[in-house]
Amino acid sequence: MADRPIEISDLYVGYKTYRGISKVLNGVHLTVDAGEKIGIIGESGCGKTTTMKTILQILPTNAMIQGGEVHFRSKNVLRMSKKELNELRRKHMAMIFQDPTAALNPVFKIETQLIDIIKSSEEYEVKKKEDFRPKCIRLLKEVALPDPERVLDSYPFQLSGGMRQRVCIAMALATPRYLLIADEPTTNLDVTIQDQVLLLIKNIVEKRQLSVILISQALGAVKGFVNRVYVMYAGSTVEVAETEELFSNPLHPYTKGLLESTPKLTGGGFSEGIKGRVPDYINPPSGCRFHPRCNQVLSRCKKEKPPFIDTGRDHGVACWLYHKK
Amino acid sequence: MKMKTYIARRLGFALFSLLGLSILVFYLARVIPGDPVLMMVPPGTSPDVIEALRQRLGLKEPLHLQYLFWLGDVFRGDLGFSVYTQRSVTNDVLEYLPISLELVVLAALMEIAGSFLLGVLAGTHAYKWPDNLVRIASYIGISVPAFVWAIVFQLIFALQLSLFPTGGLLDSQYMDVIRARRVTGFTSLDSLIAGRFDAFVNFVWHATLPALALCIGGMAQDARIIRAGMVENKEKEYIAMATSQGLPQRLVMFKYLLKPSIIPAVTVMGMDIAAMLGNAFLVEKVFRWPGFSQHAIAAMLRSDLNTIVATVIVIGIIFAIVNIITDIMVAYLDPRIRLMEKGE
Amino acid sequence: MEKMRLFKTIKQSPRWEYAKRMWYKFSRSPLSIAGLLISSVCIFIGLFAPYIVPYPEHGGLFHNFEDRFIPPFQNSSYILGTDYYGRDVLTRTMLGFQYSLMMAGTVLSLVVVPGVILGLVAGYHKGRWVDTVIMRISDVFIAVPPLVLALGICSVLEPNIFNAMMAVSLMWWPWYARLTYNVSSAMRNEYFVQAAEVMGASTFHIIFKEILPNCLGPILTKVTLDVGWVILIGSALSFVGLGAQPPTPDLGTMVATNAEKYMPDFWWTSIFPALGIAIIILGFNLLGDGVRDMFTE
Repeated sequence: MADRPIEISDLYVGYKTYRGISKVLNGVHLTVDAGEKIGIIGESGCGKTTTMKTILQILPTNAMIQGGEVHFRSKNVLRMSKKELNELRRKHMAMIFQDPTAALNPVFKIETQLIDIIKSSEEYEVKKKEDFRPKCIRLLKEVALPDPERVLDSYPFQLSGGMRQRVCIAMALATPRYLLIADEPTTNLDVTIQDQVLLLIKNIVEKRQLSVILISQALGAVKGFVNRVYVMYAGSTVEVAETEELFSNPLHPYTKGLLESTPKLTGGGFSEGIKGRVPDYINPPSGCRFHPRCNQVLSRCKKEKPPFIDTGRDHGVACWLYHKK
Repeated sequence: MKMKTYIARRLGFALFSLLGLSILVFYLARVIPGDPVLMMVPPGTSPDVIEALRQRLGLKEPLHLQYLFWLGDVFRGDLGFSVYTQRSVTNDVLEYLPISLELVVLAALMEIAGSFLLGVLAGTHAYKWPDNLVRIASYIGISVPAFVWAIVFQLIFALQLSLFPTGGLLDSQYMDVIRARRVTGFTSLDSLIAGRFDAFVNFVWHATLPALALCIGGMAQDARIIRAGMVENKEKEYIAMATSQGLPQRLVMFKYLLKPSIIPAVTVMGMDIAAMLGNAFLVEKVFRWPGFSQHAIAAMLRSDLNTIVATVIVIGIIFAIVNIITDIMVAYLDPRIRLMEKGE
Repeated sequence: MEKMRLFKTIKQSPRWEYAKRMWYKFSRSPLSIAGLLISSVCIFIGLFAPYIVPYPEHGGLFHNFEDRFIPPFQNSSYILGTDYYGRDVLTRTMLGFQYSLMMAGTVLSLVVVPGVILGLVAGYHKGRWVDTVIMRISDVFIAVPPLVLALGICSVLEPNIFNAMMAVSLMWWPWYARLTYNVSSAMRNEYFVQAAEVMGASTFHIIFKEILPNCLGPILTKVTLDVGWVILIGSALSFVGLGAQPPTPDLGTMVATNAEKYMPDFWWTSIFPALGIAIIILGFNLLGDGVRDMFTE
């Protein structure tokens, strides 16, 4: 418990916008143990990326942390000094972003960006650029990039989407870290390469024995890979369980709806999805944010936000249906 | 396309534009003001003399032939005869142009240094007091025309505070430097060549206020652009990524944030510096700086056509050169411009 | 009852939402609001100057040598002091506003419409001869810094304010053509244009109803900022003596004649007109920034 890599409790984060404060995170609870692989699933805009950015403290300037704590090995990230934060990012965690095109600086060559990462994280004596090149090539080969020499000398816009994402993965691996955060790494890629990149990430995680937080909208991606899955909706974690358990025994009405929405090849056909739309974060629904769309809604749901409770077998859920009072 | 092709294309464009410009100016100068010969001779000259003069000057030829003759002359370095100074225009240009160029170069250096410093200062302390200070200063800098700055500087720093001279190129005791040993035509270089470091310092002292007045508007504008670029790019995903990788903040700020942010500023800076030679007269007049621009204005007021045409062409050439250099710098900084074909 | 419903419909219409959002984006910066106020005041003065100035007759040939060179802030009848001829500086400065804004208004109204249309046409027919011709011609004008060309043209014409305006107009239009060309040619191959073409929309419709509305942002920004620029160039021309001639109360002319002869002892005769120039330019620059904000996310 004491040296748990990640522990997020009751996190509230909002963004200042022209219409008011967008209260995106509404009580997020998340833990990652050493060596664990965690998955987070949820719709677009439910706050997954915001949560991850809070861990690394790379939120945009209009973000406000309104409550809660984020602990890295018992130290509160939100109160870390610049030096500590820097060490956190250099040595402990790395993040792969959703959009590889936006994540790479357009006016610098891949080589420059990669070398700077390597240089800043290890205590090398000042070496020339050329000395780092073999290491860069090894890294690029590890992410299965053909013709690493050419890639190194290119600018990001000269590479394809899949190649850019591989470069980003290489950057995340450039120095030994043991927690990888992969924020929808394949969503922005062509369908034909999504599989490849996901497989690549899997292999790397296995090989290097990394902890992972994998965010995805594709339930299938998560299923074959992680130990535990969190389900997020409208800024809260609504359910968590071990992968098998979650998929076979979903408790939260949202999770149930989500799993049913996935078209299955083996009969059953298409479901109707979940009625309603993602809430407006500036004026979110009261109580449980899912209540307007819930087909098992109780009167209590509109008034109070359900707490996150453990229903046994390490299966947690935030729903009044399961609150034994 | 490669860098060389890019440069070649730009040069071609510039040449074409200049040619077109020369035609425009030539025709305007010949067609509009009336009879050029009548302006050259004293009143009361007999019509025969006028006709003979016309013939000699080739003004009886059709206009397009005149233009070609003129163009030929220009390429041979003959820019015509100045009615105002009674010398060849080329002579005038060679004498006055370096003096203005010195001022412009100094102003350009000031602008580049100043806008970088101020822009980065404001960008790295966005929304805090250095930023607000720079913003206010830049608004004032942009709104006040250069000649007003010139007058204000002269009033405050020269006349009231006596920190700087009120005008002129050099103090009288140093004038012998340029009179006797004019090698390059550039006062600063000439004084260094002659080993007179004191003259050099005196020159810079004289040049400071006019150069500052000339560049302060542009400096303010560029500082704002750099600041805006930094603030905007700070929110970009690639900066978040660079930070998340644990790169030291200084590296992120001054390498990864700075480079994409200065590109729009370089473009504007280049245009501004390119235009400086043309705008210099505003300042030259106030500070009695014996430069090319104020000479050109004097010529214009006396309708000295040859000088007017030559001025526009010379300034046009320099403008084009500076613009090309700017474009090359931007292409160097932003690989997307030089490596992407249109439509990619 | 009907009126209430009408208001409600307007308030909920997408146009109103659009306007509200524009206003929000504009008003976020207090500087833009300041710019709006300043430029409104300047325009007001420009429009009504002859009616609100304390001494309308001071705008032309007038002399009252008894009251000459009264310093500012000392005499309640001449708040900003008087000049060589005893003319009220405040009056002449305010009248100068009128001239400056008139120049900006004239030049811009002459230049914007043709420039934009040429730019749109060139942008739509990008790659064809129409494009090349229009753009090459405007390149010629852009090849020289604006001031130089204006000077050149002015110098061969008779120096007065009308010719100055003509000269400035003549070399200003290419900038609008170029701006519009850059914006519209980028849009040329967007899907919505192609969709309109496929549906058989006339070229006129495509250019003016599809492409133009999307170009308005940069164009409006430029127009607002250009008020400042035109006035700057106009005052530079007058400063040199190629624009309005004395005794016309043009701001640049006043700065020129008074700065040369009466600085520093009678500084107010040139500083206040210069301040006037600066205020107009400042106001419209701030306003222009706000306009730019309105069209950026």
